[in-house]
Amino acid sequence: MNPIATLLARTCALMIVALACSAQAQTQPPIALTLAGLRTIQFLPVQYAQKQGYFKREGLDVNLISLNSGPAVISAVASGSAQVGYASPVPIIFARAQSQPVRIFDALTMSSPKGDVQWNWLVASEKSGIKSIKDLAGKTIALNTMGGACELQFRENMAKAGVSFDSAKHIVVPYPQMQAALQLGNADAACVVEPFRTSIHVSPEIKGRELSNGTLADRGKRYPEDILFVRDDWGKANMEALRRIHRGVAAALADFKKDPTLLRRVMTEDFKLSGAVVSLMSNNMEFANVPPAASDIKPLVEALTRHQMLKTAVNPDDVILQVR
Amino acid sequence: MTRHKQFNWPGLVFTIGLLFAWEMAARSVNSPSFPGFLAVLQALTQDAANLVTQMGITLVRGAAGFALALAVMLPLGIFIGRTPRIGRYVEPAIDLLRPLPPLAIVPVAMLFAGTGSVAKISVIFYSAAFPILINAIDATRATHPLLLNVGRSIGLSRSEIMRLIDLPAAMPQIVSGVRLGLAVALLVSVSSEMLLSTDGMGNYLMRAQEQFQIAGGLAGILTIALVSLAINTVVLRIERSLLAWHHARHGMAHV
Amino acid sequence: MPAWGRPLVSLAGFLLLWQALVMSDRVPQEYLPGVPAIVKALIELVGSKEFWTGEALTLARAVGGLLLASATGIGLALLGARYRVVERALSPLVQLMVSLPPAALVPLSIFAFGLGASLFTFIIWFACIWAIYLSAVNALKSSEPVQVHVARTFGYGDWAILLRVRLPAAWPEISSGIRIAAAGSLMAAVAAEMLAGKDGLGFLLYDSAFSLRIPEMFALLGVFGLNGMLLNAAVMRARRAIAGWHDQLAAMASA
Repeated sequence: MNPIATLLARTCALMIVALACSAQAQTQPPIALTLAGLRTIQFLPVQYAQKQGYFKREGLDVNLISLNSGPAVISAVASGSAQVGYASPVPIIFARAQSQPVRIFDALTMSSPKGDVQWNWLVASEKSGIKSIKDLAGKTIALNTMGGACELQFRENMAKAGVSFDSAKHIVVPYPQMQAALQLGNADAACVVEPFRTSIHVSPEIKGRELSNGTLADRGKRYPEDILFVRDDWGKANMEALRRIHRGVAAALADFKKDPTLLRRVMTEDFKLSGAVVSLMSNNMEFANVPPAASDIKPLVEALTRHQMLKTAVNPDDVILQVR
Repeated sequence: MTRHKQFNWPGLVFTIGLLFAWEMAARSVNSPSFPGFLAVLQALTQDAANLVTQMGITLVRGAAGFALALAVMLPLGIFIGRTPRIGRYVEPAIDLLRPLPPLAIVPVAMLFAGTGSVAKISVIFYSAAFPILINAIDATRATHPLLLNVGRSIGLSRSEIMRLIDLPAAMPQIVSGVRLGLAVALLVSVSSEMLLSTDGMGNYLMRAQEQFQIAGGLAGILTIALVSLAINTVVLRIERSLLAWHHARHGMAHV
Repeated sequence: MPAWGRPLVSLAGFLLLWQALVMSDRVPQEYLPGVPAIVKALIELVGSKEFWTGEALTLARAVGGLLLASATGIGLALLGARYRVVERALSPLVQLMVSLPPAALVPLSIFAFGLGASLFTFIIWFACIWAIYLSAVNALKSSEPVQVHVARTFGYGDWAILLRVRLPAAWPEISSGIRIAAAGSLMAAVAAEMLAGKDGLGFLLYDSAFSLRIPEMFALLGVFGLNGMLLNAAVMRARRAIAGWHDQLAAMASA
């Protein structure tokens, strides 16, 4: 047979095989799920993955919804209205203590021993006169909610400085109002996340001073700061979906790593944050897309028990769903 | 033929039936997210002292805001109802301000008054003001024209008409508005405590939510419900004696 | 002065007061923006599709819940007026529920209703029904005995008297209750959207606060006020259609 005919025949064969394969892939319906989260900077990789079609590419049909409170997210997943959720690990530990059917299967950020790559800070205003954590005694501190990661952060860091959490006055103020509270003197110190941390940092009226960062006081501990969790029974039955979610998020994070300015651009567009605030944000926003092990959850459980925030025993293995 | 002292048997039977149904439903669903009545009762008794303290704090704030609203809005409402010229200008402003939700007002209140009781009481005042004001205005306006004509024909002055005819005639609806204002005051006291959470029942509910103590949260809700029932019963008693003439007259319509 | 002149005058007065407050500098301008900044934010809002979707959703939710609450509230009150045992059976439950903040129920309700339209319908229905039911019960109790007796001499049965004599007479007070509940429906919709929503004006409000867009936050508060006026105007129009004869009578008498 002449070479051109052979080439044509082979190409045709290849095309037929390719067509058959793609047809088979298309006949497999995408896995549909609802993913609920809070609109924080840490959630951006998931939103970005959705926008870029990375989930779709993985054969997932994701309905992404943003809620405004942690309890709403957890209730949504626990009740089956959403299958996957994004939250801090602390409420999940409390949920497990109450036998709620939710488990952590992936993380978005981890603690860091470096000390400057963190996602939550304790800051004080200049006029409060607070120079370090031990000055918090008798002052007014603002938290976004009681019984959560914020309270744990304060307790941990204050205990490390030898000061009791109850020696300070606590007020609960949503993150957006913390800047106003600090500026008007309603609060002397607060626990904050981005973008409020930068906004407070650059405010000339507050002249915010960073007291500490990271939830736990012990820098040597490794634990997740932001996680993805799933409803127990759905997760066990749909492990493939969890793997695909992980890959979709990993693809988004790969984009961020390749182009350091991408994250800031996404923040300005999606969050509609002012360019000035975004440009002043810390450079050290490192995501860590690593499924946590039980040993990563243990430091949080221990800390919560130590500070008597957690009154029921929780086994760290019970908090994780191993995605095989 | 008023039935003051007769015990509310239908009410009791119905309520107990509902509780029974709740307990049965919870047992059949058997999920940590759906505690039954007995589990909630247990949480209630375990945390009784704390619940009572927090409820007290919420009530005191609610009462302060309500008292302020009553003192300011009741006379204002009657005046506006009787003076249509002013009413026409003031009412659009009322309608502009009224639907602002307390949850949205709280950050604004915080800007002016910090996060303590003053901020919460101002939000409570703001929210309780409107049922009282609106019912007072509407009630005064709806005074039966026959009564007004009689008053005018026997030569009563404008203020005498207001005091001797408007006020008693409008009483039933005004009292209805006051009762609503009271309910709103308690409601907003709890809601404001959920946002500016320092203490009180709102704070208690938030903590229970955060820690998935659903039975505890329901126990808090049950506490609020029981207290509101108690307050309503007392207010109804007062209302019944205040408006005895009204009830006697209209009791005949039930025959 | 034309009919729309008076609301405009009071709006203008309100804005002037606001600007004076801002310029007194009690609170820094970044947290309490002046009228020009808010107007600018409002114009931007009006140009965005997200805003109009949110507006439609919030209004639809509020009105839907309000209509359902009106139907069930008035229906139950009619039942209770005809069969006193129903009213007495419901009485403890109603008094238990009337002061429960809808906000406190939201996280628990997500379990039962999910995050969709039924959650909002339930929360808003819950927020509105008690006020409407209580107003209707109170209004139906206030029937004029003369009217009832006349109807009976004409041979009307109990249901006929209820629907054709007592209900029409009760409309003014019932519509006052609906008017109050209408504001409550908007508040509940916004609260639910702030706590558990992913769209709607309440969600946009929280979002603008979260992203530190304060002038936009105040512009949205202004929009809430306008929505309230809209809803109120709609309720008043409905009242005129159903019970207009009553107002006309009163107007004739005070002429």
